[in-house]
Order: sequence, then structure tokens, then C-alpha cells
Amino acid sequence: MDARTGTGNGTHQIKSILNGSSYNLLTSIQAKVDILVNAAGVSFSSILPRSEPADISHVLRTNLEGAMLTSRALIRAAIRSRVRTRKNEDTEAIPFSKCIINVSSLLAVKGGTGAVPYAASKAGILGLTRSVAVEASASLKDLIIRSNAIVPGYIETPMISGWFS
Amino acid sequence: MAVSLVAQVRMPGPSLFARPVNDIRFGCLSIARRRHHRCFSSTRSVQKSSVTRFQSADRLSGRTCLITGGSSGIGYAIAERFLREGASSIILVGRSQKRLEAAAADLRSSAGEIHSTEDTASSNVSDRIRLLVGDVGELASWMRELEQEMVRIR
Repeated sequence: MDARTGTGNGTHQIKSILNGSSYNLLTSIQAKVDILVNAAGVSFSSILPRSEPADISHVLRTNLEGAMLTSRALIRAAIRSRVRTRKNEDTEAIPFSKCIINVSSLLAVKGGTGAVPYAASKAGILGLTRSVAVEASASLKDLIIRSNAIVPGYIETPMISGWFS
Repeated sequence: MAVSLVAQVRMPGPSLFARPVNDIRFGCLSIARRRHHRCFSSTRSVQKSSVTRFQSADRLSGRTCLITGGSSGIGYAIAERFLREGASSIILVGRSQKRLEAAAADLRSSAGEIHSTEDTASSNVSDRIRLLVGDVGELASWMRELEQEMVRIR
């Protein structure tokens, strides 16, 4: 499903890919992504013995696996763009380096109570960040892909206020 | 080959964030107050207790940024800042179309407050924001579509 929606003063292009719904590719809104920010994260407040395995998996899948798959998509897209650029032989400016920014958490490095799956997923983000940086530079000689992580402490956001409610 | 280091954000002074000092739920994260160094960017932003106005340096002009979890929280704040820094295009990814639309509306109104000498920074913000509705938790099922969003087609 693909639509333009009006909200007040302007409209935004929206693509919707949910539950395998039919996907319409509009070539007109293709964009070359050079910065990826993995800020999607979910968490629930519970001690481990009282946590449902399904909830644990959901947290790990969204926080860690999601970041990993988006990084993978960016790298693959970068490789595809590179091949296409070579074939075209345009006299074009050197493309921007790709940059991945992952949002980790203080809980990744300092233990806490009530957020074990979240802490584990955010610690995993750090390993992902470092290995993507090293691997991309070692295996892709003519592509620059940088990978860094932010380790926030207590930032006043809806997620934090959910913890303290 | 250069190795990217994990960057640790230094928190601004205690006046900005209230940190639970002896929160039993989080162990002993911090007992004593430490001196925090301000995080300086290469341009001139002064940390105050509220949103500060600064001139867009257009450091991100020409760049396209995809932000998962961009409807709220840290992702949204990054989107807002990147728009101020002149990013050509921001793609927000989230599960809820409503929340994405609300975030885009907020971004549009906050972008209008930019004091900038550049024309590009505050004009046509709507064109610079795109929304992608999808669940990152189920990303395995729509990897190809995401990849296609990221690739430029001439």
C-alpha cells in the first residue's frame, strides 16, 4: 500500500510494508541512504524469572536482530550502488561514506534490574557495531562504511517514563 | 584499516537530566556526582537547559538518512537535529502510521523555527521527510523491500 497523506500543511510520502502486504515500488521515491540510525527499540519491565520467552525473543529480535538486518541491507545496497556506478561511468562526485549509528544503552555495560533482555540486546549492539566496522573495512576495499554506537544513560523519553511509571 | 570506536556520549551537566542516584532497580549506577565534560561539536552550540537556537551548518546537505524508531525518543531527536543540519532527506521507519505522521508534523513545525541563512534548510521540509511503515521486529520478512529503499535508481 502506497499513499500520500495530508496532515495539515503538508503531505508526506508513505510506504507501508506490514505483515507482507502487497508492496508497490515507486521508482520516483527511491533514495540513496547513506546514514542509517538504528534507534528502534522495545523493552518491558520485568525480572527474568517472570519474563515470557516470547517477550524475550521479541526484544532481542527488534533491538538486536533488527539493527543487524538494517545494517546488512545498507551494506548490500551500498555494494549494489557501487556496481551500478562503475557500469555507468558517470563523472560524478565521490559518493558520501556510509555511516551506521546504533543506539545502545548504559545497561549494556552496567548491570541493572528489570531489563535483562533489553540489556542483553543493547550489549549485543556493541559487538555488532565493532564487527561491522572491522568487517566492512576489511572486505569492501572501495567502500567506506563507518559504524558507531551511542551509549545513552537516562534520557527522558517515552521509553524511560514507561520504566518509572 | 581504521576501526571505528564505540563512542560514549558524555552527559551534560546535572541540571539537564535528573539521574536517580540510588535507584534500587538499577543497582548502583552512580553514587557520587561527577564532573561532566560538555560535548562540543565542531560548530558552536552552547548547552543550555532548553532547546537552543543555532545556525545550521548544513553539514549534512546532500545526505539521506534512514532512522528506525524515528517516531519518538532518541530516534526522533536525531531526526530533528539532522533536519536542522541540512539533511536532504530523512526516512522515518516505525510500526504505526499515525505516530509517524505525528512525528513528521512535529518535525515540520520545529524545522520552521530554524534560524538559518541558507534557503534549503527550512524550505520544503515536507519533501525531505519520508515515512516507511514497517515492523523492524519482523524485518526478516521484508528485507528485500528495505534494501530497495536504500538503493539509488537512476
